[in-house]
Amino acid sequence: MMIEIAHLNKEYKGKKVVNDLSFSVAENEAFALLGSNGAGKSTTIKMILGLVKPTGGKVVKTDNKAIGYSPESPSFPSFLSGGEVLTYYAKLQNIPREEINHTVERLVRMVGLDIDKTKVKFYSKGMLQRLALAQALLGDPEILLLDEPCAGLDAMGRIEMIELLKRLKKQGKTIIINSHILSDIEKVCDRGVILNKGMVLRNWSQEDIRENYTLEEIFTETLGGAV
Amino acid sequence: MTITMNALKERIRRKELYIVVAVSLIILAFCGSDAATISVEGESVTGFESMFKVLHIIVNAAGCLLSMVLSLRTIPAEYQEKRSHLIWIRGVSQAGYHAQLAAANVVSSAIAVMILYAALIIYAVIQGAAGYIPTMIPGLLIVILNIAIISLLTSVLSIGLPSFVAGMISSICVLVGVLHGILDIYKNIIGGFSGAIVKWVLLIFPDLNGIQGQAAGLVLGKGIDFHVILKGLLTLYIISLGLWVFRKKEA
Repeated sequence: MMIEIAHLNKEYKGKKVVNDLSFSVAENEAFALLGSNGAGKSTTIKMILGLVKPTGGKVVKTDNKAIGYSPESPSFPSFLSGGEVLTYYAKLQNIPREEINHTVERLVRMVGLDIDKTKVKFYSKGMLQRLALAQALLGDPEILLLDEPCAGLDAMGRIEMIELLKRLKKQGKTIIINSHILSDIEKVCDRGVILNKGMVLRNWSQEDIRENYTLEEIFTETLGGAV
Repeated sequence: MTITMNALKERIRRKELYIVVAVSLIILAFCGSDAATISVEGESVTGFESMFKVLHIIVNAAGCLLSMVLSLRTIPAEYQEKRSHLIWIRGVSQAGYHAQLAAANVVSSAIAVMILYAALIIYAVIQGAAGYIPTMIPGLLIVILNIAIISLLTSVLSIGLPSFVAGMISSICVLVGVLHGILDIYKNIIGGFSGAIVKWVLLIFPDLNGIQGQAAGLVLGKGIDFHVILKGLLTLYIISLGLWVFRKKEA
C-alpha cells in the first residue's frame, strides 16, 4: 500500500469533520474522495500531507515516496509569472539549478500554459489550476494529491486535464483526487469512497460502474439516503 | 535564501517602501525649514550637533515604528493566504521558513532606515557639515541593530500571537525602548516599589535609546560604549531563539 488511513479523526471546536475514516490506496491506483461540501475531503487530504494534525487515528505512507499536491484554491506569489512560480518552488525542492529551466518549460507545456511574463495575479481560475498541477509535478513525485483539479476549467480545459491525469496514471503515478465533477472522476479513478459529514458512506469501484450504474447514480443513491 | 529573496521582491513590488520615502521627505522638509527650531530646557537648538542629536532620535523612533509595521503581517499573511501549504509539503522546516521570512523583514526594515538616514545625510550636506558623513555609515549600522531587534521581535511574536496583540507588544517595546533614558531617570527619582517596577521594565525591554545614543555619539566623534552594543546583540540573539520556540500547529 502506498497510503493507508486508519481510523482518522479530526475535530474543530468539538465538531467532528472527519470521523473514523479508514481506506488505503495501492501503488498506481487512482482513488477518489467524493462527497458534498463539508464532507471532510479537503481536510483528509491535508491530514495525509501533514498540513493538518489529526485528532485521532493515523496516516501511514510508504517511506521516501515523494508527494505532489495541488490545492483547491491555489495561492501563489501574485507578482511572479507562472514560470517564476515554478522556478521558486523548484528551488525550494532543491532541484538542481541546471535542470530547473528545462523542467519548468516542460511542465508549463504539459499543463497547457504559455511561458510568458503574465503575472499570476492576472491568471484566471483555470490557469491557476493548471499552474497548481504543474507545481505538484515538480520533482516527478510518485504520489499526487489533487484537490479539485478541474475546478474553474472550461469544457476543453477539463477534457485536457482528464487526458493528462490518465497519462500520469499510465506513467505509474498513484493519484488521490477530491472532486465534485463525478463524470471526470469516473473517467480517471479506479475506486474511491463517498463521504458525508466526515464518515465513509460507501466504497465504490469501477466494477460498480460497469454494472450499469453511473457514478452519479451511485453518488445520488448513497447521499440521497444520507442527506 | 529563496524565501527571503522572494519576500523581498514582493516588498519592493508592493511599493511599501514608498511610505518610508514619504516619512524621510517629511523629516528632511522639517530639517530644512527655517521653522525648525527645537527648544531644550528653554534654549533654542540651532547648531548642527544639537540638531543632529534630536533628529537622530526622531529617525531612530520612526525607523523602529516602520520596522514594526513592515514586519507585523509577513508571517501571518503567508498562513492566511495558505501559501504555507506549498512550502510545508516541500519539507522546509517551520523554523527555517519563519527565519527566512523574518530575515526578509529585517532586511526590508534596514533598507527603510537607510532611506530615513539618507535624510540626515542630506541635512548634513545642507548645513555644511559633510565632514560627518563618513562616520554616519557606522552610525547607521548601529541604528540597524535597533531596527533588527524590533523587526525580529515583531516577526517572532506574529508567529504565535494574533497580529493585534503582537503589534501592541511591539509598540510598547518601541515606546519603552526609545524612552529608556527618560525612564531610567524617572526610576531614580521615584524610588521605592514604583521605582523597582520601572527597573524591571527597563531590564526586560531593550535599550533602543542607549543604542541610538551610541550611534549618534559615534557620528559626532565621541567614543562608544561597546557594552550597550553587545547587550543589543545579545537581545537580538535571544529574540531569534523565538523562531525555534514559536511554532504553528497547522499550515
